[in-house]
Amino acid sequence: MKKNPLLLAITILTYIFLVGPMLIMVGTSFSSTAAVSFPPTGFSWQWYQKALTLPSFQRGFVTSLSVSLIGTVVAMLLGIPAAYALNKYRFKGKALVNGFFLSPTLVPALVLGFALLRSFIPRIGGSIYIGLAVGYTLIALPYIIRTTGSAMSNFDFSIEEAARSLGTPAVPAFFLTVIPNIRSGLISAFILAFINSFNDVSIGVFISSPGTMTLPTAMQSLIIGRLDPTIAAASVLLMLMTILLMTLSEKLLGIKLRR
Amino acid sequence: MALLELKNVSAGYGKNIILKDFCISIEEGMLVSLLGSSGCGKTTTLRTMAGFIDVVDGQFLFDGRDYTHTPIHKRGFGYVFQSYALFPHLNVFDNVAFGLKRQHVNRTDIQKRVTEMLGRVGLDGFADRLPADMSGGQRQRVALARALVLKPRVLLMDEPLSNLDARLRVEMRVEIRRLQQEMGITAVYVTHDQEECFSISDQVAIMNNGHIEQMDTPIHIYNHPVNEFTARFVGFENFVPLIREGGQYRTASGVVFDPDKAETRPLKAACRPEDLQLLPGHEGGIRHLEGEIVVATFLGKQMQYLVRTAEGNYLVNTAAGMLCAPHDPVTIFFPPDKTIYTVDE
Amino acid sequence: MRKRWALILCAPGIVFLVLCCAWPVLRVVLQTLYSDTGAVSFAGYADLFGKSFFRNSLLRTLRLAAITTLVCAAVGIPVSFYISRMAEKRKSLAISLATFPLLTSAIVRSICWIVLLGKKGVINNVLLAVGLIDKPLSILYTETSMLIGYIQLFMPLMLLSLVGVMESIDDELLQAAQTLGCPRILAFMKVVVPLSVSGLITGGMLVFTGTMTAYATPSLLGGTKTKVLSTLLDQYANINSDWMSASMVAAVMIFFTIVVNVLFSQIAGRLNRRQDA
Repeated sequence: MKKNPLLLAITILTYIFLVGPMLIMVGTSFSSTAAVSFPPTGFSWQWYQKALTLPSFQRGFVTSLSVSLIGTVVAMLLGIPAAYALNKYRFKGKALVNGFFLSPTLVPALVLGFALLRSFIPRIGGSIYIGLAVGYTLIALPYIIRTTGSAMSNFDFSIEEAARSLGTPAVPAFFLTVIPNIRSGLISAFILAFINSFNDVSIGVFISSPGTMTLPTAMQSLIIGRLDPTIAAASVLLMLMTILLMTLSEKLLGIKLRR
Repeated sequence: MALLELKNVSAGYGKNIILKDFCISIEEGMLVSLLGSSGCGKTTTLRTMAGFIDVVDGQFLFDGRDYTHTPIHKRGFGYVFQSYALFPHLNVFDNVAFGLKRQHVNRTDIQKRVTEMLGRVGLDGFADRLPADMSGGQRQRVALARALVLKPRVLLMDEPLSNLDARLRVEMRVEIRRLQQEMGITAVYVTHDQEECFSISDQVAIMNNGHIEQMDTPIHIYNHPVNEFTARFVGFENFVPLIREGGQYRTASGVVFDPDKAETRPLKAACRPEDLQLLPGHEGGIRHLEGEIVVATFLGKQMQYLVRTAEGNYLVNTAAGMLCAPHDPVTIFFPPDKTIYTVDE
Repeated sequence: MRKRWALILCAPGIVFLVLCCAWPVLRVVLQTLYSDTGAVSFAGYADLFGKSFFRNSLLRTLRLAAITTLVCAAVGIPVSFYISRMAEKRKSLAISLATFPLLTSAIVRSICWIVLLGKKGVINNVLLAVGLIDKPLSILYTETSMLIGYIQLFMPLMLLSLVGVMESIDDELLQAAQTLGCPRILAFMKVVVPLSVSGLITGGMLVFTGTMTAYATPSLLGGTKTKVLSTLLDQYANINSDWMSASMVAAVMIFFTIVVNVLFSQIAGRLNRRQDA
């Protein structure tokens, strides 16, 4: 295969465009002055210190982490049985049910947050926290159904029937045959759904209160005030978290995170 | 003058050089096969001619002109891929018309030439089919038609029949030979199937380790392989090592062989299983090896015996009438006109 | 029996979706169709579409989504092809590098561009220092900066969709086109591009709907004069507390998301039928 230098150049430029700005931000986060500049003037950790101790970031981090985890776990509890039924059984209206499970993707996340704020949160006593968790469940559910569904579509259900024929009841048979065989699909679906929720900005635009807001919302309200390297430092920390999750899942679990 | 000529060519994939100082020359109008096992360099040779592989050193001449660095699309050679490489998004007509459109042939001529070509390969009425809806044999015909419709002077074929079943293979090789002769095309044909290539080629080049062991007409190679490698390729299975002793060639146990070669190096005598003669009982003499039956196998028209002798085990095929049982004492006779001698390297 | 099992397994999810998604969303949409007197009326929408401010935002949203999709496709096709032909190790690295931005929050990626494009940002600092300009360029808070942000945000989706499809295109098809007289570039246009259409449609749908509904990028990189539907919804609801208008904008966003989804899957369906036929 002969390599084309023009193609190589376009590819490199595209990657510079994709990744370069993030690298520059890493540089500015170590600035010793309050002005955002590159190459950075001086070197200091002060903005990281500030980002880590800012109360709104600390609260935002805890909120984002917990609602994303709750949302992802609930979505898996609801989604895995449904994906199993949709892949194993043939029944009337199956396409309709499948379509219904994927329908949240037709509603932009921002609108979903807006609808929850208007029509759902008032009914449950105004809990912003529950509203966020429900929002992230809704975002994760179609994703979980799709990814675990495609993992199950590669699974040979006669293996499960073999376990049944050997005297295993239905529920243990599911956990002994189906789950182990789609394990890596489940884990990567979980991690990706979690990262998506954690990074999401849109749901939190409407579902937030001064006491309860997601980290991205907290970051955004800080930028509107002014731009100093604190926000760059916080961004770098979030990127580090992504890199950590990507490498951990690849090295420890052997799972490459792909969307 | 040769139409295609590789002169001292070195070529390969990146740092992996497969052909070193390689030479071959092919006359106009011939169908030449490159025969060898996988990794022998036969496909590399073909792809070098097509221009898929960069030549590191040496020259490729086409009709006396230097084509070493001519881009693929300017060579004008037809190429038939092992996978056929039909365009899955185009129907049969558009697949065959693909090259004509590049030559800016006008629409009515394209229609005429494609239809005629499809008729020649026996695909009348298939113009609107997509490759995915066709059988292997039909796809093979489309691949041939797509290359031949451009009336190339050279047709290069890379194991074109290897994905077909046995019956279709025989049918298609006759077809390929017919088209090649009708259209007067010079063809290079890569295969690992000895029978297939002997049946259709004017000349066969037997390749091994990136060089040609022997290149000649099929009949000559069949009867006079130059060395043990080509001999094994054309069905010689029984090799007896000989040493020269006192002006005579003998086996280790002293049986005399009489090669008509002016040679002093160690030789091997060789004979095909069906050409050996099996005599009952023990009987000494020139080119006679005594032994006993180890395994008897019924092959239908023939019986095959594995015979253990002092020189090793040999396979002998005899008419099914002659029956021997394991442990029977027998003698293998090497008929002088069916025995060849190769230099023991 | 089977049907009952299927129902039992799907039921919790269905109930959840009805209560927490279908019903709240439908309620918001339906409310926009009732006038104060309780009669069904499109007066609200007539009013909304009568405002040039809204019409401009809607058109801007669709225009920016279309440009982003076209740029991502135009750049994505050659780049994805190059990636798909890389050796296994390098390809894996290239795909990880494209995945990484996707796994980074849109807000982080928008902040990068503020750092770069701002009046006191990196690009202006460099250009001023070099002397190419004598007063800072205003790139930030324009449609240009939004486009830059969108393209960076959604390019990886296009790349990943295309690489997946292009990997399965055999090199021999390109070589076949070349032996039939096509120079390499033409062979690429005649063979690789038509065979990548399914990836182009999947990627295009993700990029188009993504751009149309993105919030962080337009709110951080756009200005008050470059409102799109998502920032308009935010303004109506969070600043003006005009819930009726906000609900209508929300309904319009759902409408266009569905329309784009249907359009793209129709095209995909038609192409599939052509390839299967």
